[in-house]
Amino acid sequence: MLHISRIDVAYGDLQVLWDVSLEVGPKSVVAMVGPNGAGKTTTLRAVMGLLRPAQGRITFMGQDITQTPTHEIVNMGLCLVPEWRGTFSTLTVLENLELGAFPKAARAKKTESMQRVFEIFPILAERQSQRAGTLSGGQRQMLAIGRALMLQPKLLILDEPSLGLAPLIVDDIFKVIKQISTEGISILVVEQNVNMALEIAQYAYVIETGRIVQHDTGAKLLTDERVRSAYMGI
Amino acid sequence: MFEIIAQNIVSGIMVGALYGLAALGLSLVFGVLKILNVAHGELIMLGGYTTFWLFNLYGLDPFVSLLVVLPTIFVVGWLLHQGLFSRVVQLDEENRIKNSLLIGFGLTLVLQNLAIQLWTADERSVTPAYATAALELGGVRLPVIRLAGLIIAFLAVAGLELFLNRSYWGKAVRATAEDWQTAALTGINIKTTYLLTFGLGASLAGIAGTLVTVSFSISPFIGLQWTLKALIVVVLAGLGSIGGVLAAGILLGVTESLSAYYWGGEYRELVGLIIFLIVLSVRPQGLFGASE
Amino acid sequence: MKYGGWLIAGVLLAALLVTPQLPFSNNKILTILIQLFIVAAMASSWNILAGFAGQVNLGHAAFFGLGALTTRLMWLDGYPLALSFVAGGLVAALFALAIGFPALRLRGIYFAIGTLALAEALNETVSNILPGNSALPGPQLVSYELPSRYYLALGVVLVVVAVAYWLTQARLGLGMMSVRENEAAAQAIGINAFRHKLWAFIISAFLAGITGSAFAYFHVSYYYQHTFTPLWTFDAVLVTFVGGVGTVAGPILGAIFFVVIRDVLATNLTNFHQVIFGVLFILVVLILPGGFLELWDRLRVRMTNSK
Repeated sequence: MLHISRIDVAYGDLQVLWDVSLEVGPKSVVAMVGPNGAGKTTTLRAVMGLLRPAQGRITFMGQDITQTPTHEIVNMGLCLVPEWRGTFSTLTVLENLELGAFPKAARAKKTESMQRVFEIFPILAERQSQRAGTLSGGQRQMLAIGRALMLQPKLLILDEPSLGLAPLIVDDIFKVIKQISTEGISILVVEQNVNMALEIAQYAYVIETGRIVQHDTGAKLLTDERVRSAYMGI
Repeated sequence: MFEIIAQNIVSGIMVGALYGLAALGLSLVFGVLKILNVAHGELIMLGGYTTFWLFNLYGLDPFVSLLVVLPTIFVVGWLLHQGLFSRVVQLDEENRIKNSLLIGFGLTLVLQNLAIQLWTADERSVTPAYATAALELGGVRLPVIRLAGLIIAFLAVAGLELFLNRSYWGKAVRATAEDWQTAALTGINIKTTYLLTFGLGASLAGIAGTLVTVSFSISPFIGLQWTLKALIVVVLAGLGSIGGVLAAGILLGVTESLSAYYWGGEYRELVGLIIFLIVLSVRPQGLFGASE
Repeated sequence: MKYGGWLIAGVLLAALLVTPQLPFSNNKILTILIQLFIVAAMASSWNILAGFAGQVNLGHAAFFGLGALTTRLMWLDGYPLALSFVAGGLVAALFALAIGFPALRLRGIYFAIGTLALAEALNETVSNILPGNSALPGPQLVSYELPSRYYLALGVVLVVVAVAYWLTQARLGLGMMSVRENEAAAQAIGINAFRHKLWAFIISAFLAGITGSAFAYFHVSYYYQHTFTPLWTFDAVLVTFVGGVGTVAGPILGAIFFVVIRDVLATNLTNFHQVIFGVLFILVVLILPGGFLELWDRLRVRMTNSK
């Protein structure tokens, strides 16, 4: 579905990604793990068109999206829940979700999407008229995911969903991610929390200092010596 | 004595509403695109000349000409953004601000001097039949034209608020103003949002221009004066705060009016500038802006 | 600069020095050259704060005006010219020192519009207090001759260019440029950003001040307010960018181009030179941030590459 093919990305003169390749197939859950600053978010920004790679290609559903503007990529069904949550704090929960259905195709399904989001995250239904800025960290994460779901995504990318959240909430979030994947949406999750990520992923990539150093099935990586010692302190 | 002061205050409110209207477009553009268009006053000037020529050539009533000015200056704004400002909007903050400042600056020179070439440097005015008509309310004289300007200013603010809060595109504009990257990730077309916003800011300037022409006069040189005036109001209100702009404008208008009364007309402009400088050094986020 | 560049500059300087003595020189030529020197000096002095230290000052005219006003008033009051001249620069520098503390605390755009407003406030004040014009009284009018004005203006622009050049070699100037590039990084390596900005501000002001002094000595009659109008700032900004901001030669090149278009070519298209310059300016900002100098560099690279 999503093919990232040997991309190089630089910020001005500073190159940060070298020869990165990654694939997400239909109806699968893929993880990209690695330490802080390894280039995970940069890869995602390149995929979504917030950055352009200097080399390489990115294709989604067979179409080359390397130079496509962000909102068009989103319209094709590729959506990102960014690391910075991406909720509009000056708008209410309801307005945030409604805005999530901005593209015409999503707008038509607005009511059912919103129903679905409220089913998955009942707390959002409770706090619909609250301004998003007043929500807690975990609730904001739920709102961010909810907003992405309003776009009727075919592939949902989550950047560090566990960041800054208490372990119990992280559990909840990952349960939700699993639930979403069972409904047929492909997931790419990018995480520092290697454990949680590898538990739900069928396939995973390890990225360090801008390069993919390892990739294998989730199960194999969980038991891999190197991964365990580097990331799980074992 | 009280009547004279009341008259001054009322005049100040009416002029102030015009200041607020002039600043509205500037504030909108800054809030969303994060650029300060110093050629804003030239857009006001262009709106004013549109009204003048429509009146002069076709006898079109200046208030009716608003219907023409709105779309015309919107298109001018659209073109200016498409051709010029769009190229700097996506730069990093420092370069974006510096380059947009410089572009606006160059535009000011080009537009002002083109106006001089095309329409001469003479001051012109528009005098419809009701130019001297006025209402009398408790000893205070309310010129009909200024009163209409006041009403239009309020309508413009109300219209803008409605657009931003109730319409889909309005919410897209607010979202883009807050965080353009997330807005893009929501499927909002940022380029179109910017174009729309800039065009809207330009039309608001155009409307202000019409009112300036019919309340005072029009010449190619009013651009810089009004840019400065709008800048002062925008900074007073707080860069990016749209609600406070009308109030800040009225505050400025009344202060100017009373200063002119107490200290003489020559100090009218000076008062505004001094207040501006004080606010800038003490509270740069403005009277109504959020503390950083 | 390579030796070729120095040679050209030397020849030009010699030519400028002897111009008033040449048989074909007349008032028109000298006047245009004086105007060139003033524009070049204004641009170059502005460039020190904006191009070297990175602070865009939209109130540069204030310094010019203060220098002109001080010199004119003192000189017409009987003080010796030399004293009045230096006093002009000093008053401007003191003004910069005084407002530097509050003004330089403002960042980027606030600084730009703050200085703009300040210059406007000064403009308004002067037009209220001194609405008339300043005309040379009898004795000065009778003894008026152009060559001394010419040499003073030439001297001023040489001083300005010399200071600009010196800054590119001195630690003070390099410190300013590092503040321009990245203020936080400069602070991190021990450079006091505020002090460098203040120095740039004061130097820029002093140089603009003595330029104003040269203006006051040159003009027979002018409105006091004229030296405070924002046009002086705007022309300086335009000229600097078109020539090449942040360089020593840029403002000079821009000034030559400007004066050629404005005073030599402009016949009946009164303000059209402003339109041309405005358009050029916008093109520079969008496409060629280094101005003419960058264009020249690029052409040179092309020519050497095609060998």
